[in-house]
Amino acid sequence: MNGLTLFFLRSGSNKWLLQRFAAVIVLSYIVFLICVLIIRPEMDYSDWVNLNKAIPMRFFSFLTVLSLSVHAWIGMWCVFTDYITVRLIGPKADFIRKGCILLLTLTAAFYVLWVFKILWSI
Amino acid sequence: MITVSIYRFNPETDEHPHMQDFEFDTVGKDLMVLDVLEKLKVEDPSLVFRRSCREGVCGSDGMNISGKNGLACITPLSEAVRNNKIIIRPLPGLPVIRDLVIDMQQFYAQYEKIEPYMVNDSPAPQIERLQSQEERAKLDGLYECILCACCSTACPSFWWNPEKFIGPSGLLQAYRFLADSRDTSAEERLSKLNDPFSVFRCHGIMNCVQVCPKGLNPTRAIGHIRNMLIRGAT
Amino acid sequence: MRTLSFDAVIVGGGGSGMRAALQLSQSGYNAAVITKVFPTRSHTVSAQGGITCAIASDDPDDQWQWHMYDTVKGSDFIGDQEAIEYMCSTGPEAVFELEHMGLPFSRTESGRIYQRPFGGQSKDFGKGGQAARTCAAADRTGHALLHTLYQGNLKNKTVFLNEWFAVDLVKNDDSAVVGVIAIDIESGEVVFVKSKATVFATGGAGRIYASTTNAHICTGDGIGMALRAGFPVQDIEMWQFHPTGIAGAGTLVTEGCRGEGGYLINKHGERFMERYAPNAKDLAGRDVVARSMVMEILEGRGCGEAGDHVFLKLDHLGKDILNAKLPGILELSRTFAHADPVVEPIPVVPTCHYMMGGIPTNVNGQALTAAGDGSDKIIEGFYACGEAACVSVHGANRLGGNSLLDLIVFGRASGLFIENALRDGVELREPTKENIESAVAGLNELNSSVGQEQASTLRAELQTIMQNFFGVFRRGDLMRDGIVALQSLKQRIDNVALDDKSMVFNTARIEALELRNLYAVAEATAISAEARTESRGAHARDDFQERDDTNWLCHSMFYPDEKRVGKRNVNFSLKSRKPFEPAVRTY
Repeated sequence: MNGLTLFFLRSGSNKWLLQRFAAVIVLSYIVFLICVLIIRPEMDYSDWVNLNKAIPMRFFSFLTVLSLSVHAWIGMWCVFTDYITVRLIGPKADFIRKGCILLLTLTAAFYVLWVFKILWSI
Repeated sequence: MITVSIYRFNPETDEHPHMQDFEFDTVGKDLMVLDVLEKLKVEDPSLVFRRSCREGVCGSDGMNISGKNGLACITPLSEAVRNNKIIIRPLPGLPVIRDLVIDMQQFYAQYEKIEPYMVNDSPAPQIERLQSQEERAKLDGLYECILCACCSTACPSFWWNPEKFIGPSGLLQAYRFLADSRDTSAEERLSKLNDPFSVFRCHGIMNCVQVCPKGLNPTRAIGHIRNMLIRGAT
Repeated sequence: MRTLSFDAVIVGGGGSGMRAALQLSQSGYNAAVITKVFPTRSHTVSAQGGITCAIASDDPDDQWQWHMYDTVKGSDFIGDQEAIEYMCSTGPEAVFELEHMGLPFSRTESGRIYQRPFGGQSKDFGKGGQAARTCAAADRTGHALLHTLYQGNLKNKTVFLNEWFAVDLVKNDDSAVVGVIAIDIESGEVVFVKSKATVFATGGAGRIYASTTNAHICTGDGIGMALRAGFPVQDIEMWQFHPTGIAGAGTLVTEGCRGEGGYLINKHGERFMERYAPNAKDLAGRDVVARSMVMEILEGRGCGEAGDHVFLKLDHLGKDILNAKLPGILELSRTFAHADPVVEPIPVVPTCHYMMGGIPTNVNGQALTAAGDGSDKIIEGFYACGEAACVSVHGANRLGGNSLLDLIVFGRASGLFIENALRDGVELREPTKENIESAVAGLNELNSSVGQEQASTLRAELQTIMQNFFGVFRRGDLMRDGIVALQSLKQRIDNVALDDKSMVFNTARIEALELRNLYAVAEATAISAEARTESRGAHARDDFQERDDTNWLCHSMFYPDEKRVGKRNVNFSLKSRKPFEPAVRTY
């Protein structure tokens, strides 16, 4: 398919499962944050810092961003392979699509690393 | 009087396809679209379309009728005429050979890819293989497919990836064999479908369900296949 | 001209053609199927009710000999008993093979193939009451069968020349058949398809009539080609009118409806078949039921404003049974008759359905002609099976469900025989340039036509003549008028226009070629029908109302070169028992 697709992701069912699994994590993170805000409406900046400083919370946040990027990567990969094809835009499509997927991968990786840096520098 | 606007293209004489309007007197009858085409062909024998059984079981005359894929022989004018006009085009997404006749090779290739025949390596009994009524009932809604291609050519995913995505018709048939209690090759069949395109390119748009002239539900069959694949993966 | 060579070429991608092809490709021979439509569009797909065969599912004591008795009686005693014996005895094996290939038959509670009652079926040689012997896949048996066969051929890598049209036979200097001239419809290319065995599985020709259950493609191409090549056809006057075609539309409503308990009523709501066939009632032979319906209509008891049809009543069976057993019929009736059988009856009328006659063959599918002394002579290299052939298992009237059985049994038999012949080695003399040219002559003539007559107009006129003069009831003087009308049509058909001479998917050319075939079948039918001066099976004459076993317990043979009707003996030599002697046929 292309060199950027991990071996694990050559299976359609793995990709499908992973995307949904990632969505569940992102969703639960959002629900968790909303609950926190509801339970502690008077939370100020120092409370917020303390919450995010906690080790489990750091892992949870990191996992969420990782999931978000995996989810987005799979989704965008689908979009690219649907629309950026030789059939639709001609022979240059393969080159452009690979470029897009590379860019997508780098962007996702960059965000994951950046978030990691932020979380562990709180 | 209605206006029948038909997609015309003869590769030997036309550089580009064009729409040709015919005036047609229905004499107050609710004819089938195929009857209209037959009568127009008397006027203009160069008009080309496929047809055979004229009762909706052979699947020859799939075409795009006023924007919706269907069989001309079982689509009455009353369903297709709007503002006294009916627009007839070939099924979308596949190459046009001439007028309303499309090249269905890609469609058939996907059908062949799913190995649409029963595999059972155990020695056959002297009589038939037994199958309970419940097991047989699982094939209802699957085996009736007539390969008219109305569904696959209404599917955006099939338009985008006709070489890689099997398409609703092929997948309906894939499930017909997966669901058959007499077939023993489910594992092999599934392993051949478990790439990110063959099955998983179905985005649940459900155009296939909306247009199927036999009232079949390919999306549901695809869902069953997906579940089988996921059960296999976990 | 390009030449393609195969061990065997089968013309026709319906049930019998694909069964023959399957047999050959399974055993490793290079077999090609020429088919003018994609195989699953063939008319076999429209068969509904089922395939009659004594597989002893409904009745564990069922015997193929009982099925054989019914078939002989149904044929009004001019079915060849040797062929009927072969069909009924090998039938179960052939049906089980289909099941093993995946045909989705409906099932009984014990998991066996579901069988329903059909017309003309009995137990114990007519003495044991109604039998249920027709194996069914709901009411879509033909569809299920055709798709299963196509799938089997895909599995065995048969070569398909899809959307190719066979134009004429190629004969060598020994008058053996060595292949066909065919057009690739998509490109328009004309090709000589050469073969050691040429099998005609071209189906019927119901389109010679104005009102028919047959698909548009049923134009008797094989019969036309055989007649133009000078080969005779047998019993071609025998045309079955199916009792229940939807009035107006002509689409078929399966006999299975009556098998499941439906019945016919006239305008008074009377179940009139009780008068005509007190025992079998609505499940009498198709010829009997069709004639009874026409009698009701002629005597003013027809339904509708014009009184031109009768009703098939199904609503008393209830929604659940109808949905389970006859789902396709519900669809067809709602679409074409605007009647929902769950609550109201379907308007039906006898409609041309099946050609009992065809290319005479033996049980191996080898086509026959007559030698100088009148005895059978095998035509080298030429085979036929299915509706195009006349083996003859249907004689003067086919029983419901026997056509699908005929297809697979004799498709298979032809395949088996050719397989052996190929193994032993087939030597046919190479065709000369002249041989090929004479086969292409008709096509060239059409291509250079400057005629004025429109094919569609001529076709409609031909259909009207056949409908008016050679329908359910026939009369000598009217038939002679019909023959004259046909002959005057012939000159105009020779002058048919082909304004569009393009190559790519030119269906106008194909329809003009089909018209030649329709005419050939119509003419043979007309002349043979006029010649048979008796009433037998589907051939009912007002001027000769009785069956005449003294003169006509025989096949008719139409010889195209002299346009002469001869006779051929019916085969009464059985292997397993003594033959069934002709008897009065009542239901």
